[in-house]
Amino acid sequence: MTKFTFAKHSFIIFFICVFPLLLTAQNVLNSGSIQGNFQLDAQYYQKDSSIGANDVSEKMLMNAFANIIYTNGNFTTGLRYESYRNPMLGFDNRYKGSGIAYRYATYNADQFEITVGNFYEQFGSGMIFRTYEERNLGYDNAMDGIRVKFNPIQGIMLKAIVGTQRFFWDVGPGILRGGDAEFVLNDMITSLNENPTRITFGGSVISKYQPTEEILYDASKKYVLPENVAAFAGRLNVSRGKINVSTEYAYKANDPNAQNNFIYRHGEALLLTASYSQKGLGVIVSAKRIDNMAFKSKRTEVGNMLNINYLPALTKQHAYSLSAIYPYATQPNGEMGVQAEVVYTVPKNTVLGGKYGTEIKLNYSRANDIDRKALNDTTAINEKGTQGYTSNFFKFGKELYFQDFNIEILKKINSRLKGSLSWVNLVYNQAVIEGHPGLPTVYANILIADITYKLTATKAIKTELQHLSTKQDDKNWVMGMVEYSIAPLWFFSVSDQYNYGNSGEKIHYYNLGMGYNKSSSRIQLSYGKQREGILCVGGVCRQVPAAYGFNITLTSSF
Amino acid sequence: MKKFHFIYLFIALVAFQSCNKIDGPYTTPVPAKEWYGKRILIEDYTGHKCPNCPAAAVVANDLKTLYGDKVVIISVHAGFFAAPSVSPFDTNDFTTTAGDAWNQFFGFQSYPVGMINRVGFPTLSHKIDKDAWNTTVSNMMTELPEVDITITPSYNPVTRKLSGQVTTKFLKTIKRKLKLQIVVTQDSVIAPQQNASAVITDYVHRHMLRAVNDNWGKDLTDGTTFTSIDTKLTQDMSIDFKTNWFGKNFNVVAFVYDDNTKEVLQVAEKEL
Repeated sequence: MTKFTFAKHSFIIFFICVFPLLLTAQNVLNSGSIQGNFQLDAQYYQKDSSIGANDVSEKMLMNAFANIIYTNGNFTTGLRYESYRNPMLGFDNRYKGSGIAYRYATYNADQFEITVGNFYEQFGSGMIFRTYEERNLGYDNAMDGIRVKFNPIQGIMLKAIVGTQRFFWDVGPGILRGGDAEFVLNDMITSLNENPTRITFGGSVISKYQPTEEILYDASKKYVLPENVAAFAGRLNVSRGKINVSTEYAYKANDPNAQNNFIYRHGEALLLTASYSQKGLGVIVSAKRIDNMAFKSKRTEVGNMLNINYLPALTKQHAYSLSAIYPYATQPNGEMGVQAEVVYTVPKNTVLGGKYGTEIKLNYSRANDIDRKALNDTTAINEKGTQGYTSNFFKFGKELYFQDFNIEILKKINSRLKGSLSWVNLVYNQAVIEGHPGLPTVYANILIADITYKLTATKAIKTELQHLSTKQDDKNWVMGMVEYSIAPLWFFSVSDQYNYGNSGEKIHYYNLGMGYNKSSSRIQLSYGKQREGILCVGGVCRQVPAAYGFNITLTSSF
Repeated sequence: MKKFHFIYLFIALVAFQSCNKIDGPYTTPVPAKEWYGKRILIEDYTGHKCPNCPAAAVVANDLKTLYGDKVVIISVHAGFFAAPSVSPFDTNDFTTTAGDAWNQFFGFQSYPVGMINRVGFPTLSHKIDKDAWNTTVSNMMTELPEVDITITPSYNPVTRKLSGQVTTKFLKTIKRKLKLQIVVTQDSVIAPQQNASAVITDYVHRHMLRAVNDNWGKDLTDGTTFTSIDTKLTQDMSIDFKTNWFGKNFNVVAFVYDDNTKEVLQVAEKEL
């Protein structure tokens, strides 16, 4: 199936669903409501060999989309039109084209909610099933099929899904079937309604069917492949007052695939989270273990597409540009991680708190390989066409993938001046995280100062000073940014990142930007250089190429 | 209400049953296939600094071992990993103008990656990961050929000039805009290669693209009229060998492709 037929069929299906409704329901538009949003990103590319930025034949590339959603009572239908003419650098060029990539219709009747077409869904924390869209990553694994939700009694929610997943302008070869059940004990049992201890538990199952295929083990043998691969998960959440504890365990049956080097070992994952919060103090502690949990609806796919499950990264997602240079990407083949975060507000009118109080955030996270032992003396660890390895469930592997210790202090000095100071200490295993064996582990320290000074009630100047020091990779970076804003309409910014300490050419990555807001619309323009790097959201990453040129972003909603 | 519970129980039961446990053996011999004369072109986009590329070369060569002359491999050194840089990758430049042009045109950004008969362009699936080469080749192996190719090369080692003819025979009457691409490859070039975290200094580079008659070949048919079955079209070839192509093991590869879809209809290889 080509993208053209898919897009055409999408359009036809949508109108088959919607048009009769428009004809038969009187005043349907009057009684319903339409809402939507639009975003356009475009860049004019210039060549700059000093940073490795290429120009493109098209001169300008664009990604754009619009969501249009119609709601009438308990009926909702919608579509998303996407256009990549052509995809911006860093986005997979298999997105090239325009068309309706997402369309659906949903209605609620009695205790049912039925969706046909595309939908996003998640079972529990997503460790066996989650479909979602993240436009910054060019990631979309939307389902195309049927979803039924059923709420038989108060406190019980059942879900069932069947369908395939989006693969650019097509769908993947695997068919997913699954169900999820969640029970809120306090809602189900009247005597527990007011109990301060709240208990929720649930279970889910998902099964992928993909016909067998001929994948060679060597020149004379091929793999014996399971056509049906199932995964199961169970979860529990208990909360009482200021304390909340949740856990989920997932198990996946044998699933030899390109990501796990075609081993036949089962997969499993465990996620534990405990949190405590009271006024002025929040603590959250998490731990996880992932073992052979790469799960895709196409066994030979190795990129970001067609993920059936989602494996959360237990690391802080940094917002400042230099602290985000080395983001962590979840390692689905195996990792053990912990994270702890404390947020404490020093009370007002104390020595440290001052007049307005002082907020202190402490965060620590670490991810290691899992323990792995060879099956026997003659089989290498993770050798293809075997059970792969054995592993002690509770033992950390020796190889450190990532470690992040950071502290951030936020302080309001007076009615005009506020700011924050941050220190980030990172250990980043480039070879594993970026998949480039041989690259050294990066040890980096990052200092960030962020100061905002309010000139008037609507005008403010925000400055950022950042410095990253490391002896590895590209060595040191320094970054400065000044932003002048006139709320709520305008902002203007100028920034520069400068890479120094290495033997290469000294380069300024400057950027000039401005933005204009008008009610629900916003236009943003920028011109400058963007360094090559990695962008990660929730542990899923994409390579961002170096670029130089003029950029425009337009967003609007209605 | 009970029937709805039954629906969910049924789905859960189906899902639980929907799992195939493989207890071993995990591999089985590849069965022999009928072959009707269509050879398969594997283009392996690679680079000497690409740490994961040797694994792709193993897959390609396994397929060559399994299928013999029915599979033709061209290793195209292109992109970031193929560019010369610091030692030991500073002395060899295996990139070619044709390889660079193909690499850019087909939009490769990560390596290793390949194309099998260039099928799938431009919509989706022309970029094929090494782990999917087996299946793709296996599926194409039983297709019927539309043309056949005969290569009659003549190489003068003194002038280092390749000449000769390539004849395309039509096995059915078709109306397509076709091009003939002639390629020189060199097998078993010894040079450093990154392999995972190590550098193999005497790595054997197989099926390396060296030169072409033109980046996009030469017109064979214009696609405006039908070309009858049994028609034979012959093109001369003339390619100069560079003086820094040391060693031997040169091959001439010729393939006919549809200029609109870029799909390769037939490929042939002749050792010099």
